[in-house]
Amino acid sequence: MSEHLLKVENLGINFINGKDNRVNAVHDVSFELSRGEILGIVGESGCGKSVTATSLLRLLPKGSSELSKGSSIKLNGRELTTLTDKEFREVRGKEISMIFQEPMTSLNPVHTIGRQMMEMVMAHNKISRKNAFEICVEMLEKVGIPESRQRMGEYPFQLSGGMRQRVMIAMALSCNPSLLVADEPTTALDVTIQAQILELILEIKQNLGTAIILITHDMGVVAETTDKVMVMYAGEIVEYDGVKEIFHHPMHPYTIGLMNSIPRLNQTTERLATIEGTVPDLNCMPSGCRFANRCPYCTDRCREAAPPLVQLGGNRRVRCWRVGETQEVSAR
Amino acid sequence: MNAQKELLRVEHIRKYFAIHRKYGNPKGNYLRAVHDVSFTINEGEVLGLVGESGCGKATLGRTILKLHSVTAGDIYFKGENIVNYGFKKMLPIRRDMQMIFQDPFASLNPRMTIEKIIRAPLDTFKIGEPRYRRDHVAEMLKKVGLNADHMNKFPHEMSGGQRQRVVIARAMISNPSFVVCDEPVSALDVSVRAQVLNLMKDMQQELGTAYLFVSHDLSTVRYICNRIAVMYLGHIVEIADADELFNNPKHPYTKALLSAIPVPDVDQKRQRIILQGDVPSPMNPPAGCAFSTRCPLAGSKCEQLHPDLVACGAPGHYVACFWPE
Repeated sequence: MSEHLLKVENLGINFINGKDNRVNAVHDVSFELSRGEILGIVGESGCGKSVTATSLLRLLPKGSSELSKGSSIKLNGRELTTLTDKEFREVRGKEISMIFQEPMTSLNPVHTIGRQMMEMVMAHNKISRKNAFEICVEMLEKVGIPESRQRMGEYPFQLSGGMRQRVMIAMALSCNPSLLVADEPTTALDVTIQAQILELILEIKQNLGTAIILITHDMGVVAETTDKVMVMYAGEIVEYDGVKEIFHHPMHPYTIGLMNSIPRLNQTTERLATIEGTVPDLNCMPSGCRFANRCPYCTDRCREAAPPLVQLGGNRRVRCWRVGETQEVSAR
Repeated sequence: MNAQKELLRVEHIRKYFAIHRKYGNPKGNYLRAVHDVSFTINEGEVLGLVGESGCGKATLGRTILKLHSVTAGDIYFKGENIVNYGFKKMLPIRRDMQMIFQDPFASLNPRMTIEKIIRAPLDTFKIGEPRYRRDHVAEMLKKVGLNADHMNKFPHEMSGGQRQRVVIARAMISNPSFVVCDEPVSALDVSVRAQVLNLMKDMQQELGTAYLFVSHDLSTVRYICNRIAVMYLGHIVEIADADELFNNPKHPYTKALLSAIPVPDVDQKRQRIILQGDVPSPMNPPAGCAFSTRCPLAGSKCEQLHPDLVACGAPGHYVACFWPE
């Protein structure tokens, strides 16, 4: 299908650790995204969700990381992995842009908000300073910053955390990108501020039709904002489907465990279900299923061979040998 | 559980931090982290303390343990007023009040083995005979879901969840009757978080310890606490039994806080109250109600007068608002 805005296929990322030591951080990740859709990537720390997203903007350190063979990232049908660095600079910021987790550290403390924003606009468009200034003022207004003209001359320390994140969003949107990658945009913020920012992200999607990749570990954020969900574990996609389908009917044992281990607000829970054990080390990944050592449904087959990502009915993709059987268990 | 026996009573406690005159503060103002807070904790009870960052919840927890000096107010622990106790007089009491810290990567000494870390309270308070202390540590490790092999390890050899278990073991080994838990699971991943929360709940029920559970995460608090206090800008704005607070919140801030939490449920579309603006600076708080600058109900009375905590509705439910609903 060519209507997809972004199509990622067989993406693999290795970190180079000394001469002959390659650590596979992301393995066989494929997904696609259409205009005006929000894809949520969830998983625990170290599962490769941020690395996947950063690789879309080619922001990983060059000497110490590489895409594995056969990786393909297509934006509007154009292959991005083969572009030269110079060509890629045209893409980064203009067609794909990114919001980072820490609004405190992702803005330069010694430059004014205006200067940082205008730099980006002027780098991608041939326009005068005056026009760039106006564009930035307008962007700040769009993201809900009052007295935006005055704010342009202020420094990041003069703004609160929520305001800084709004500035980051304004900056990321100032060149009207078709894809926005948001890496845990609300994790560092308080709940009431988080609610404001999530509301803003939904507005952007509706008004500008921007496709958004939202990385988070908060299942609540996923349920309320995204259209599609990709659950990652130890560098692989374990489950992928629409958000409603995943929440109503999780199939992979990891997703099921994740859902059951969240304390709920609207009901008192006597005891939380847990996933025993911890994530395996990237250096010594098991040869079979990566979740096998924590999986309650694990069999010998799971320990021996790695399961493929299977396409089921609808859009569901699951990486599990026992997918039919766990399904029955999860239905309870 | 030993119901309804009062363990700790805090009365009108205040903690102000002095700000250096040099740093844009010519008047020599104070940062009012905790401002006139009173509450009690019964034996074996878990009181949750929730609020956004900077509301003074962690400062309050530390002040009760006298890790900060107290600016004003009284702390009665088992009937004794400990506010003016010095280091020496506090020492025997410290055995009975412990703390679990937020970040297990920072709260364990990297140069000490796990055995030494967990043993420290036993040595300090001279609990048991020295030759049995090692067995005591091993027993404690088993209780928190680790095993005796971990004794000779160092903190860096363990994962975040395991380290937090060590922190819990250290806090619990002197068998305290009161533990302040300062965001004990915020630094952990979801699946590990559930393990640690279950452990804390088990320990609490087994040993009958009272917790002051400080957290910004309301769903965690709901899972573990009997009673919940909501803080905003140094004040407690609402305090009630857990079920009562969630089913029947009265303070506008509590309502906004509850509605702001993303719920992991795709079918539930809730009416969300989105608060405008940010929390005011505790260096320069509003004259009247602390919440008046963001409150949808605020009137001129709210801007001038400060509301006290008053009983409202169900027994044990207190709200600091002129217009509780």
